[in-house]
Amino acid sequence: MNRLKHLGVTLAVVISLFLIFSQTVYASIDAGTFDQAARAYYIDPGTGSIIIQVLIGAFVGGLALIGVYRMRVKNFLTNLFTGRKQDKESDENKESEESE
Amino acid sequence: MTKIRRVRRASSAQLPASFRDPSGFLFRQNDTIYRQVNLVYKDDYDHLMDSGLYQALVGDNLLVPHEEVGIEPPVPEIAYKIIRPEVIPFISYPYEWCFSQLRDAALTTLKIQRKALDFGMSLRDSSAYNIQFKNGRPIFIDTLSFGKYREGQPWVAYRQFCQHFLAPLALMGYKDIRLSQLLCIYIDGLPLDLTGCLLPWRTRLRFSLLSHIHLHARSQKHFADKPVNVGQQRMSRYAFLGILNSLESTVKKLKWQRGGTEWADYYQDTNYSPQAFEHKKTIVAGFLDKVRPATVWDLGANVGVFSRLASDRGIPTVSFDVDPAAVEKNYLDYIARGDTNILPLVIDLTNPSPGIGWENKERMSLKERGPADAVLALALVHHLAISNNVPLSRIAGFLSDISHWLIIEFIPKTDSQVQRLLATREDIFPDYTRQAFEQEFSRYFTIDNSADIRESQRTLYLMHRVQR
Repeated sequence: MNRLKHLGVTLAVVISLFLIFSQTVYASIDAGTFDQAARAYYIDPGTGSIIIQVLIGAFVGGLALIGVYRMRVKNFLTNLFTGRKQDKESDENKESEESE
Repeated sequence: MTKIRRVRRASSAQLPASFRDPSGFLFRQNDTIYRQVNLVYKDDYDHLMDSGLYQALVGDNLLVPHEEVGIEPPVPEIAYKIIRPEVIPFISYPYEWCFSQLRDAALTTLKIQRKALDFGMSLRDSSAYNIQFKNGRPIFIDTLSFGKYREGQPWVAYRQFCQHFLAPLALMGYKDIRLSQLLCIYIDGLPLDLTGCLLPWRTRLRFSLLSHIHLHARSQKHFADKPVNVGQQRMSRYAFLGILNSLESTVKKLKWQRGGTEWADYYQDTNYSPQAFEHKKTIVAGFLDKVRPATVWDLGANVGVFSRLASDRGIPTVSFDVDPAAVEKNYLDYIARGDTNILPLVIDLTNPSPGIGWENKERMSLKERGPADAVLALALVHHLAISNNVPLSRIAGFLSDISHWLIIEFIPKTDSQVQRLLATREDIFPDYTRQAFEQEFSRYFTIDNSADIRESQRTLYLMHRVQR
């Protein structure tokens, strides 16, 4: 049981890390559509500010994604469980109807 | 050469606060303020107007509405359109706002940014000066701040948001409310390294402040002299929204608890009876009804009890006090009441807001924003004359510069409130008498009416400025 728990925790950490870092991967896919030359900003966005922003964005965006995925997995499992239960219940109902 | 001449000629009418953004500028013509939208901003302007973003923001009272007009542009070579934005009755600045006003301005900016993203746009700047208070609520005034958003683009205004909003709010909340005054020194927001030094160490234990202020400051320092192609940095929409969520929750969590500053419970600490207080209100209300001023400035308003006499009569009223706690209470009270005619601001009358920025003209001094139609100066003169040693003649001179009508209270030396001010110092004010007061003020004003407040030694005057 303990081994299973450890495995679960390790998996969760690995998935979290993947999702956090994959943010930058997703973002880099958009590189082709970003035309920097056309965007002349009149304020200095600040190199350090942009870099820290991208890092924080990856982290908090990743956390948000984990939240979404956690909900999805939870909903999937809940649906799976309650769905089976409902199926079982409806089967039982059918059986009882037939026996009557 | 012709073009240069035209630009120069036009700049004479151009407002001095509007020169940074090449997308357009504000100018004044026949006492009306217009904005020229330049050709370089054409695509973004059309997207703002056609995408539905403008309508959505104006509908939610988040952006000041404007009308497109057909007048001759001051610089026609580069002009796309001329717009006439709705007038803001009184321009105020972030260093004059209380904690909750700055916080609400920050949240409004984030709300606008979020809405802009929904319509494929993003704010190109997030200066606190883009927010003004209209009908008591914060509203965005820079129509040209919106640029088209491209997927993968980080928020160019992130640095400015942290410096203009997050840093002062964190300092006010964690250190001292008076640190908002740093905004008057640093016109482009507080330097984050300075903010980091001033904030208590425990702020490093909060992820939001650790990242948006402390690590942000280190990153700025680290990359200060390194050429890095910012255009290479990509950020997905998920990350962008994550940043906005994080900033919003950080701002929302920042709180400032009123610590009972000197005048916070002033109205519970008066030396006159409830009858005298009510009588004072009746006299002031009577004077206001007689004058029916278009605008009122209440100087030394405390929590705004007397400002409310004016605002309840539908008069746009600016309610000044030196105490940030009183201004905070005034602001929160009028929000709770749903009042729309009052604007509380933190102003030290012994050192009112100066003209700051380029050529000292970017942000107006308090005096430049006047005169008000009527000024209320209740229980104020003794503070200026005794605590700050200003001669009565100079108080009268200053008040005549900023008002047409004056409703003023004189409190004699025998009053216990004045005695309290004299308790800790030598009485070097032999000229502080009612007679001298009337004499000095008569040089600048005509006294129309005066009334003694019942059960007290105080007198209220109604005066109007002598034509010069």
